[in-house]
Amino acid sequence: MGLVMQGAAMTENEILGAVRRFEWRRKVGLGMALLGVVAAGAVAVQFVPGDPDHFSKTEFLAFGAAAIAFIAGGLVLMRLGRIPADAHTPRIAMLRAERLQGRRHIALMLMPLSLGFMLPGAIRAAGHVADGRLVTHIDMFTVAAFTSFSLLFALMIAGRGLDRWAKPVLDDELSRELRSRALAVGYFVVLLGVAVLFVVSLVSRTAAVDLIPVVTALGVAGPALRLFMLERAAGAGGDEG
Amino acid sequence: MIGYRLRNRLKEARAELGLTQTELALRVGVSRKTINTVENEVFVPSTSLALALAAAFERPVEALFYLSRDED
Repeated sequence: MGLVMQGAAMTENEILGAVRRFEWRRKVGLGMALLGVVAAGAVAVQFVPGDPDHFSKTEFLAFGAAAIAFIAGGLVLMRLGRIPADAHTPRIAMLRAERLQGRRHIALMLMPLSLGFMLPGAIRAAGHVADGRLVTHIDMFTVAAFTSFSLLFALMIAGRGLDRWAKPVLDDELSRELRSRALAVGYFVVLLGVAVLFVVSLVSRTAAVDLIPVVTALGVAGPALRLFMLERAAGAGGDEG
Repeated sequence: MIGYRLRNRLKEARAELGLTQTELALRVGVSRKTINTVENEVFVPSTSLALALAAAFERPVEALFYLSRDED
């Protein structure tokens, strides 16, 4: 299939290669902008009273400057990484969406692991609030990071926030059906986990509290793993050409 | 419906027109995996998808989909 891009006819593989380069640029830009947001967040929490351990003036200025530079640089790169209109044919969109689906599966498998690592820190920070202890900037950062990451994970597994070109592949009838089946697994795991927690709490309250992160982690990892398996099974046995 | 199973002739119809799963998916506006699972009778399509598939082949929906008694 010959399409015209940047003044010359390109094959489908060449278009996909070019799109990949644009996507990389956009991803690097997004990464930079997110780093900038993190730096800006670190600066913003200095204005929250309560924690005596503030940035020095130099640190404050350095983080502020880094935030501005990274956000501005990231936005410029994202702007330069916009996919050309010529690459928006239905077939190219489908090929891109299928490739994106593969990457999303890997992310869906890794994100519960990351959440599992972050969970003890978030619980510790929540404990500081519950006990009326001093909430440090690290606590605020941990809770904010955990909450943002959980929201991102929920959006991904619910198929929200997809680009319009990716919707026919990533949010079609089958995808919605597979997601609902996967989420049902999480629901079942959490219900079972709550029952187990109740029984354990009759014996030892401390052990039950210690088990809460495990139940939560399983409730998050279960649907992700199930979705990965269902999607893989759905793609098996095709006669692609 | 208890005792019946939805079967289809999608693969044969597609072969007659010489279409790949991707080409059919593009015509209907779904993913290749959806076409694959419908063909393999792993996934039961909605009425609107069944009608869209029939429209893509320019055939009545009963020519593509039919009920058969479940042997199990």
